[in-house]
Amino acid sequence: MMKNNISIALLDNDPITVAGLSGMLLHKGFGSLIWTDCDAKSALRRCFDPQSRPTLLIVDMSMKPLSGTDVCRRLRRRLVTPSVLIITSFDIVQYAQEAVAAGAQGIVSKTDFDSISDAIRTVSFGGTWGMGFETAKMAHMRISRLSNEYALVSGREAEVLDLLSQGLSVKDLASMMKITEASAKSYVLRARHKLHAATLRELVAKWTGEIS
Amino acid sequence: MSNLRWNQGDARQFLMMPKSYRIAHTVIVLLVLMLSCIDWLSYPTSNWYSTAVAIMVLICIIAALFRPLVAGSLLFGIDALCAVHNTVGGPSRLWSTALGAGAIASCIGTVLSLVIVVLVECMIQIVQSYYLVSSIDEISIVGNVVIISLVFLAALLGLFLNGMMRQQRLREREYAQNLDRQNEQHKVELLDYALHMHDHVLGLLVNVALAANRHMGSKPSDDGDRESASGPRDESGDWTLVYEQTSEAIRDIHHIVRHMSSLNVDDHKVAAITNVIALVRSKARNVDNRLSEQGFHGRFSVNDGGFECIPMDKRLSLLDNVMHAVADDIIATGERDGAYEVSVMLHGTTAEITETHPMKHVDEKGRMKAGGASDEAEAYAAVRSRLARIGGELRVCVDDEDCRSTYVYVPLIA
Repeated sequence: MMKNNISIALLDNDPITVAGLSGMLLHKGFGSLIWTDCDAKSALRRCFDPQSRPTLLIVDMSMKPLSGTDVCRRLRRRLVTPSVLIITSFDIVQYAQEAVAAGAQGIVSKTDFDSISDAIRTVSFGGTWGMGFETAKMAHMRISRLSNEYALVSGREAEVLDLLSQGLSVKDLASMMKITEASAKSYVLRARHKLHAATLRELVAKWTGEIS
Repeated sequence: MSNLRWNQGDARQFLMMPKSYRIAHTVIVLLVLMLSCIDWLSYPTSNWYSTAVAIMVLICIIAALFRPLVAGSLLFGIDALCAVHNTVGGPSRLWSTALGAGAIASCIGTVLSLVIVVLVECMIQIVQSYYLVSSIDEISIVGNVVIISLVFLAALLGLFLNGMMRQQRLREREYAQNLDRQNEQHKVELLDYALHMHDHVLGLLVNVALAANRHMGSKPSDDGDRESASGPRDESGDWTLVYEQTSEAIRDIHHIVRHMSSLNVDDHKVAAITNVIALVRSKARNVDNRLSEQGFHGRFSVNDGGFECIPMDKRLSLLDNVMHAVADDIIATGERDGAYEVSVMLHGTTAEITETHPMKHVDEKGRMKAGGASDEAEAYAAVRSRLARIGGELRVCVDDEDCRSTYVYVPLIA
C-alpha cells in the first residue's frame, strides 16, 4: 500500500473515465486523490496554486481544446512539480514521443490496470515510466530553458496574475484582494517587466503558458 | 533540337493529340490530297518520271497524317528534286510543299524551324529559277513571292497549332496533377476521419472496460443475494467476459490505427532517422564512459521526443562536441560522490541537452563564478560561439541546492 502523503489529481474530459479511474485509485488505495477535473485550464490553475498542487497529476492525452501534452508543457514551463503521468485509450507507441517531448514522466494505457498501478507508484516517487522519459526536474529545465523569469514573480504578483488569468479586471481583482486599484496596477506593471510582456494580454498568455 | 520535339512526329503522337487537333490535322491533309488529285486530273502526267513523282507526292501527303515530320521533309525533298528536274503535268507541288512546311513547323514548334523552312523554300525557288528558266527576264518574281508567302503562312499555321497543342497538353497535365492532389487530399481526409472515428469508438470501449473492471471484483449486492437465493448467478464472471472482450476489441482497434498511421510513412526516412539516433546514442555512451573513467557516476540518456530530420554532418559533430563540453564541465565543477544527470532530447529538427550535477565546493564566491564566465569559460568557450552562430543557445545556472545546471539548444539543420 502506498503512503498517503502522495497527493494525486486526475484530469480527463470524460466524466465516466474520471469516475472509473477515481474508483480504481480509491479501490487500490493509492495515496490521496485530492481533486479531479474535466477542464484543462481549471486543472492548470489548481496546479499553479501551491495550496492545491498535487504530487502527481494523471492527465488524459486526448482532450480539447488543450490536450494532455499541452497541459504538461504549460505546467513544465513553470513548475518542477507535479510529476505528470499521461493516460490514453490509444496505442501508447503512437503517442509516447509526444509525451516525452512535452515533459511528462510516463505514459500508460487506460485499460492496462496493472501497469497504471505500477506507473503511478513509480512516477509518484520521482521515477519515470517508459522508455525515453525524463525526470520532472530535467523536463522542467529543458522546457523552461533554465529561464527563471517565473520565479522572479512575487507571491502578490502571482496572485494578481492568477486572478487576471481567470478573466477578472484590474478593478475587480483589486477589490477582491482588498487593495487599491493603483496597487493592483503596480503589481501588474512589475509582473509585465519581469515576464517581458508588452501588453496585458501577452502577460496573461505568458502566465497561463499559452505562449512562451 | 530536342528529342522530345522530333518524337512529336511519331504516329503515337498523332493518336495522343487532342481530338479537335486530330480532326483539324486530318481535314487539312484531306484538303491538300483533294487539291492535288484535282490538279493531277486537270493536268495528266506525260512521262513515267512525272507519274512516279505524282504518286510519291500523294503517298507523302497521306503519310503526313501519321508521320508528319518525315512526310513533311520528304515533300520538301521532292520539291527540291523537281527544282532541278521538273515534271510535266501531275499535281501542283504548291499544296504539298505548304503542307510539308506546316507539318515540320507544327512538329518542331520553334520559330527557328519556321525560318529554316522558309529559307529552304527560298533556296528551292532560286535553284528552280536557275535551272529551269532560260533567262533572268523570265523569272517570275511575283510567283515566287506568292509561293514563299504561302509556305510561310503554312509554317506559321503549323507553329500556331503546335503552340495551341502544347498549351492544351499543359492544361491537361495540370488538371491531372490537380486531380491527383485532390485524390491524395481526399484519401488523407478519409484516413483522418477514420482515425477520429476509431478514437471515438476507442474512448467508449475504454469506458466499458473501466466499468467492467470495477464490477469484476465487486461483491454481489443485496439484490444479487436475493437472486442467488432463487438461483445462483455469477455477475463477476459476466463482467470479466465483458472486460476481456472489450480489451480484445481495443487491441484490434490499436492494430488498425497503427496500420493506418503507417500508410503515409516513408520507410527510408524512418530508417535514416533511426540510424542518426543510434549514432547519437553511441557518441553519448562514449562521453558517459569518459565520465565513468574519471570516477563520476550518473545517468546519461538520449531520448527521442519525435525526431524527424536527417542532420547535417557538421551539426552532428557540434552536438558531439557539446556533449564532451558538458562532460568537461561536470569533471571541472562536479562532486564525484554526487550523481550527474544528462538528457539529450532529440525533437523535431533540434537537440536539447539538459544537465545537472552537484557542485564540488560551493561558497558565495564559487556560486558567483559558476553563474558567470570563468568556470564555464573553460568547458563551454569553444562551443558557445559556434552555437551562437547557428541560432543555438547555452545557459548555465546554479540553483539553491548547489546544483549546477546547463541547458544547450542545438539546431540540427540550417
